[in-house]
Amino acid sequence: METVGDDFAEFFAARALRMRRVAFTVLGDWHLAEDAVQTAFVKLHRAWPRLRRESVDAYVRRAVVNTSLTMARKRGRETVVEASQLDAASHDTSTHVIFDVLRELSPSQRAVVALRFIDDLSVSTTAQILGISEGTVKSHTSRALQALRDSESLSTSTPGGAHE
Amino acid sequence: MSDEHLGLLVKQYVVRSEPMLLTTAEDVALASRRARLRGRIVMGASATVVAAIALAGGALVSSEPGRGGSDVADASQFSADSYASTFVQVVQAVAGRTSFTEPEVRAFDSQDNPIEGADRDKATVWRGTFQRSADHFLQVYAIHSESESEGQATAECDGALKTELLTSCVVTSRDGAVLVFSEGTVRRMGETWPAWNGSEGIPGADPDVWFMHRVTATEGDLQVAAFEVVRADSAAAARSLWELDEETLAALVTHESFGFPSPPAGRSGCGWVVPEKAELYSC
Repeated sequence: METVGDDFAEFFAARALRMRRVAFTVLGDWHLAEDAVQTAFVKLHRAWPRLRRESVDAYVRRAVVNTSLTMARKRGRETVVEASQLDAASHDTSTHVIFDVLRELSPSQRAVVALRFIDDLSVSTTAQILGISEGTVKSHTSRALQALRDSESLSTSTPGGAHE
Repeated sequence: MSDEHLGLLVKQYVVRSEPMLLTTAEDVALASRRARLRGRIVMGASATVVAAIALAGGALVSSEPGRGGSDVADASQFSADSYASTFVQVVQAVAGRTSFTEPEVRAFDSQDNPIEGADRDKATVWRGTFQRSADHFLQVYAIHSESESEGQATAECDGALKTELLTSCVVTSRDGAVLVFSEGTVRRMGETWPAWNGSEGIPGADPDVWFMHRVTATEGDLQVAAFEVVRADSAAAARSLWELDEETLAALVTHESFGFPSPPAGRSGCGWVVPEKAELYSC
């Protein structure tokens, strides 16, 4: 079995799932998201000895987002998010609406959504990781939220999937 | 509909369709090493090994008893304050009260988040750092971890020597505990010292390249490790600076006072983690 440092393994255990959710939001495909996360963590593993602990989170976020964006751009927008990726149990109205809204966004816009809502980062931190201005983060966020808000069917749903 | 509400819907959309994570940390390490080997062949570069060894950190929880397992008869009797106080007293009694001062003993959950206050009785890791100078530390930690046989420890030692993570590593058994004596070059990263990769910085020139010697004792599900780290120009120079010999470190890690109750299981079946961090952890 491959020997891996406990602190790296621990960091992987703590962050991999969340980072894969970020990648999935950008790519819309769990298999691609898994590939993106593995690629990003391999980069992290190689850089691990020279990274300071406090910079590791930012490093892996950048790696995941950059890898995901590269993969998304290579494959083109039309391949992002296929209905077959969605679990049957999740085929409620809100899921389909979010699916459609995300598909209409650019990869960079989806990266903003991923970092803001999946990774719960601030506008400032999201801007730093993506290398864009805070204004751009706000405009991307606003566009995504407005698209969701404009969806009539979503306006009646509540978090948790129940309908009022 | 508020922004928060919409954000929550997006998160739920992602989480609902989420399959099991297939990639493991070991897969990543293996891919990393393969990529490095490919690069080495292309570039003809000298061998460098990149990996981090755990000189501190969290671990999985086992139900097997050890000094800190069922031997601690009643977890309700455990006092985190008393344990932290005893921790310091034992280290200073064994290592010498005047040698290592400014003790800091802290509790951590199973993913290495610091725990404060009453929740410290749910700790997976207790870690004490003692300072002799700005260039010389002693760190001792006790972890509820997986149990380890002498054979497993020997295999790990062999692997670490083969990949040059350690410069020496010897396994032995003593009073039911598996003891590992090791030495290596490390790189300071905050409060931890992962293995030096052989290329990042030069010992003696780079202030973050240090040397360590360590003894680890594993008994049941409790692992106690003590390691001394110094900043020096060379391994030989570091050896002349060790304040504690191996037998003193061994006496420290086999001291009976380091046992503490196993942590309760967290929501995901791993050891307890602080509530706001729990959702990040996956076993």
